[in-house]
Amino acid sequence: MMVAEAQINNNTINLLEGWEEGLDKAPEWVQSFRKKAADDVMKTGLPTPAWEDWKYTNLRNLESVTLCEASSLHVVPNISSPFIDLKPIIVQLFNGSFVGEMPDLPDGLMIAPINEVWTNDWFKGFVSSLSIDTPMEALNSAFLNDGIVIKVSENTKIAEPLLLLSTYENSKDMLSVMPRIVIILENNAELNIVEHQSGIGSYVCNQATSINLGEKSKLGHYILQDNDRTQGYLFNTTKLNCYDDAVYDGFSLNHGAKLSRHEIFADLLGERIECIINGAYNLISTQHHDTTIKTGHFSPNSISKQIYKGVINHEASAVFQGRICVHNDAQGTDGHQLNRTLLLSEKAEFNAKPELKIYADDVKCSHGVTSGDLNDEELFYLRSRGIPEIEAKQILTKAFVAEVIEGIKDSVVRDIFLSISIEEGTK
Amino acid sequence: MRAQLGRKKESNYKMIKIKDLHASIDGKEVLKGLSLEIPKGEVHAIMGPNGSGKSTLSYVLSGKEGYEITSGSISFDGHDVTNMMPEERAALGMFLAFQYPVEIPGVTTINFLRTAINSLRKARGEEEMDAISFLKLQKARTAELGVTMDMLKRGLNVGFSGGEKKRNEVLQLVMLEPRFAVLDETDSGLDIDALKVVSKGINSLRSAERSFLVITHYQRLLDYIKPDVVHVLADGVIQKTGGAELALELEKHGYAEFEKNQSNGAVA
Ligand SMILES: Nc1ncnc2c1ncn2[C@@H]1O[C@H](COP(=O)(O)OP(=O)(O)OP(=O)(O)O)[C@@H](O)[C@H]1O
Ligand SMILES: [Mg+2]
Repeated sequence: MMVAEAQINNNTINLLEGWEEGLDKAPEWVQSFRKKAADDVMKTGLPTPAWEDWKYTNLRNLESVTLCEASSLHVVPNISSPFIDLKPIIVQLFNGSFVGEMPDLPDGLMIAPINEVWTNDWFKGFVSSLSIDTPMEALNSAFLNDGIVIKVSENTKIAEPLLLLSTYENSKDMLSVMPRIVIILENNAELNIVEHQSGIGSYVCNQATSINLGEKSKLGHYILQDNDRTQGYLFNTTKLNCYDDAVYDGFSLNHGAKLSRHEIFADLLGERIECIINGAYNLISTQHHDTTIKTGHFSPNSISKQIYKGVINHEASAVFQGRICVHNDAQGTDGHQLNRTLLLSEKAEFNAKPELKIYADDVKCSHGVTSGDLNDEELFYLRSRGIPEIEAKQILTKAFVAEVIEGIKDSVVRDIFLSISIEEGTK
Repeated sequence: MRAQLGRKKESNYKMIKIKDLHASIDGKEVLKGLSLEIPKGEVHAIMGPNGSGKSTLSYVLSGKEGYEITSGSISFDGHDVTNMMPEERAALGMFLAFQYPVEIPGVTTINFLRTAINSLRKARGEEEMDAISFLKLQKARTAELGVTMDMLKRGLNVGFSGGEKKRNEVLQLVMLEPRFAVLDETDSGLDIDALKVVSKGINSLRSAERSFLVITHYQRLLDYIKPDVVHVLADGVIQKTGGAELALELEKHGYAEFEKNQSNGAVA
């Protein structure tokens, strides 16, 4: 395989390269949406550690990404997924675009490429109403074209889970991948989605996921991120809007990339919402993974919970930044956040920034951060029964992560996650 | 003072030989020249005041990290195990029922048992136990001990009552079938009925091929598990050794006699 050096000296400009492609074919509103986004990126540039939320994650290395000549580009890789066992509706995405055959879809479930539905008012209404809060989001927005929309109609409960097999790969001709996934559940709709993401080689992927949960709707959103672990750059920004009585059950198991950041904005706009954003990550080598979650409670009596468990090995580093903001009107809020990290090596690094901003008086909120290594007493207990040290450590590491996987509401999905190797993923 | 007064058995082969063991933790010497021999097939009991070093002995026997053995040795069935790792000792057939079993969330008792059995088999060059044989064994043993399926499916010891934890230790004992077992206050926390059940389980393992070291504060346990020999451990050494009647004596008079020794017993 040939390797081409793509030196990106000014990473901002380079990542923006090609954003105007196909612009003239897009509807008017998309054109101005993209132009404005590109403008925003040019104005601010990419974040630097001087920015408040980027203190611990440095994008400097993006300047010298070496991208492979992708021999298999446009050939859909056959990724095997343990989630096939769910007998799901399978949709394959390559660099965010739909590939392969569209499966038969049950009534009330619509899946379509973005550029086939973007003239619709409901699409425009939702996407153009989203605030753009970070340069990564703006960057993605400047390219709005690739990606899919998943929409469940009012009062429809989709029984089969939806499996998105998502692969990223890019070459020197294509410096970055900017997919957008839009998920819309209308009132009283229900769906479970599993995203199995795989990045190949040295890719740069900057995904944006925009989710709208109507009243009484329920979304199970489970992500297995299983990339080639040491070369790629993966950014994922999720925007979640929830209305009255919606339930979001989110879980992601991340095996990281060379550098990755998952940033989640959850806006609890209605009342009595239950919003769970849980996750786990396992990092090796010199991987860096950043989880940044901002939860906003805007109305009374909603529950938000985040539990993240991290396992950091070798010289890897992780960041957890969590902010819960409870606005004036959000009385009766129940907001909890917990981050526990297992440091398996002396050189492993972990930084946390938990934050509570509370402007209402009748609320229950908490946050907690712990980090440490494996418990010696537990290790001794297992070894005293004949379990060799290495295996005992694996068992305890798995158990540490299992605690958060156990929280997944869908029991079948839960069991599959429990069966996945924390160290290796599905590789 | 350290004479072996144990009742003579047919076999006089020493399963365990502890010679002049000195062990410290965090710079504090806890075992101060302890010697003890347990012949094959015998049950020995150790009694002694709080803090005298009984649990320390059990940990040092099973190879827990953090203890510094400054001199002396431990041999098991002819192997010098003094510097062996805990899993190696287990593979040879040594076992410790903990005074305070730890809770391990996320590891179910049943999976733990299976992993332990198969680890031991693997280390001994034996084939893994298949799922059906394991299930059979587990069913028979849990029924004997009144361990419920619910307990087996829960995280290891998580939320178990004090008595349930002890039963779980004995369940592991009867499933792993070691050749030498240390029981550290297995009776504490057990109600009267559970004590009978657990003792029955332990007694079922008694054989000419197996030795036990039973650490306890109470004669009551020894009514069920009749020891061949009773030792008094105080201030880090065996201060007295006798037959089963020694336990009754201690019950009456306490350890006052040895406390005296304790203050005089200067470190060598
Ligand atoms: N990490 C440690 N650092 C210092 N001293 C310790 C440490 N662990 C144990 N000790 C001390 O060692 C001594 C022996 O403790 P051990 O647990 O062996 O006693 P024991 O005979 O089992 O008592 P009990 O009857 O209460 O169970 C005690 O004085 C205890 O405080
Ligand atoms: Mg003790």
